[in-house]
Amino acid sequence: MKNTLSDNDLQRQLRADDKKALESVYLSYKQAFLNYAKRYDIATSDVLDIYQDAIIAMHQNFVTSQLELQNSTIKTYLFGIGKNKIFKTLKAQQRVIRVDAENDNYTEIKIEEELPTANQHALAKRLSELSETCKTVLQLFYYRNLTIEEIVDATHYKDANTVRSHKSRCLKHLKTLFKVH
Amino acid sequence: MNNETLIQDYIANRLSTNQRAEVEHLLETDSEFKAEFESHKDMAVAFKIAEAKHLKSHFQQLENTLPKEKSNFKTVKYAALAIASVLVIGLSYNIFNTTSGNDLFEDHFEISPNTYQPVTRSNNSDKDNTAFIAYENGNYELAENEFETLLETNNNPNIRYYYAASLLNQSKYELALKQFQILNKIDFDYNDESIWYTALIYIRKEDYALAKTYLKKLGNKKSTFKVANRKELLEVITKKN
Repeated sequence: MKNTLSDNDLQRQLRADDKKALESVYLSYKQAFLNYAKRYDIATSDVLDIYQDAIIAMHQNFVTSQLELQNSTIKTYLFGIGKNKIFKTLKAQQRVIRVDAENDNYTEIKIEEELPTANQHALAKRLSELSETCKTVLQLFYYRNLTIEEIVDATHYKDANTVRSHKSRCLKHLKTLFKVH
Repeated sequence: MNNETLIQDYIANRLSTNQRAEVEHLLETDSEFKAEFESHKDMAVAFKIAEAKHLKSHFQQLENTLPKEKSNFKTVKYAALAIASVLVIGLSYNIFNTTSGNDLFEDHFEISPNTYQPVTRSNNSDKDNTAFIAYENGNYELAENEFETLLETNNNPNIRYYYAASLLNQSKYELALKQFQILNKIDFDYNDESIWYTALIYIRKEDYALAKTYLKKLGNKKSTFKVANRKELLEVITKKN
């Protein structure tokens, strides 16, 4: 990679939901992934789509589970997820996976992918109707899993109680929006 | 530790093995805790869905700003490729130069009929039906807007399909293609149609390699949709490619 950050530094930034770091990871490994995927004979536009989905799945795992890679690098982890997604695409197209293509440097990594329920999809849509401040506080709590104290540090709220009461009001508002639709 | 913090720490991997086991035990034995856990999880997943959608569109926009992919071929390979191209073009020129991608598209394109929600006397006043009425009347601009509005509250792939068709019928090829590409990733009622129109758009763009992939996809699925047209097109574009 061209930038001077170590893999560990980048991982730390990804855990903190740093979008600039994510974009830099995206650009750094894109061409390598497109080249890697050539052995599977999938249309470039589909590979790009798979790559984007793999990057997003990887990033969300860093953010929500506060992932720390012990014996692996971001690239190996990302390509492992991508490989799994390629195989899923090939299987969906009922195509045979060549054995020699299975044995390369990357181990398939399957990220927990329970399909979201209809309820969760509906809830996701309602999120866009929240005010920015509500969305932010709920996102910090439910998506980034920051503790109330960490939210105080990361925002302008004066103390933990203010965060708690604001969060609870926003949640109530979201539930009302959800019921209306 | 209150339940909420416990659940949050469980999801964020901040618990010891024993504490994790404790949460898992509670999930099995305490229905109130389980309900609280599920509702927390619903929120977490909802944010994941919304954020993934946002990131996806960010990457797609980023791709539009990037210069096109540069080839990794070395000069020698370029030369070989150039010679091969000249030979191929030379050999096929007389036979295939007459039909452009656009001609092929025009020859095979037919407006997708509304078979999802046919407009009848009993339902033509339904609010949700405005889009299909506009579609059936050939007012694709209005249909496009109406379908777009419907999609905001209902991510129904069949609605998206007719949204894509409305775009395509107005010659908004790139926008339609984007929608078909979203649809091609899922299994729904108009899968074959969506793949077919994707192939046709690529033919129009003269991206015959991709068009071929999509036509073959239909073959792999053993689809009977437009089977004669597909065979004919595959033969023509295989010679072009």
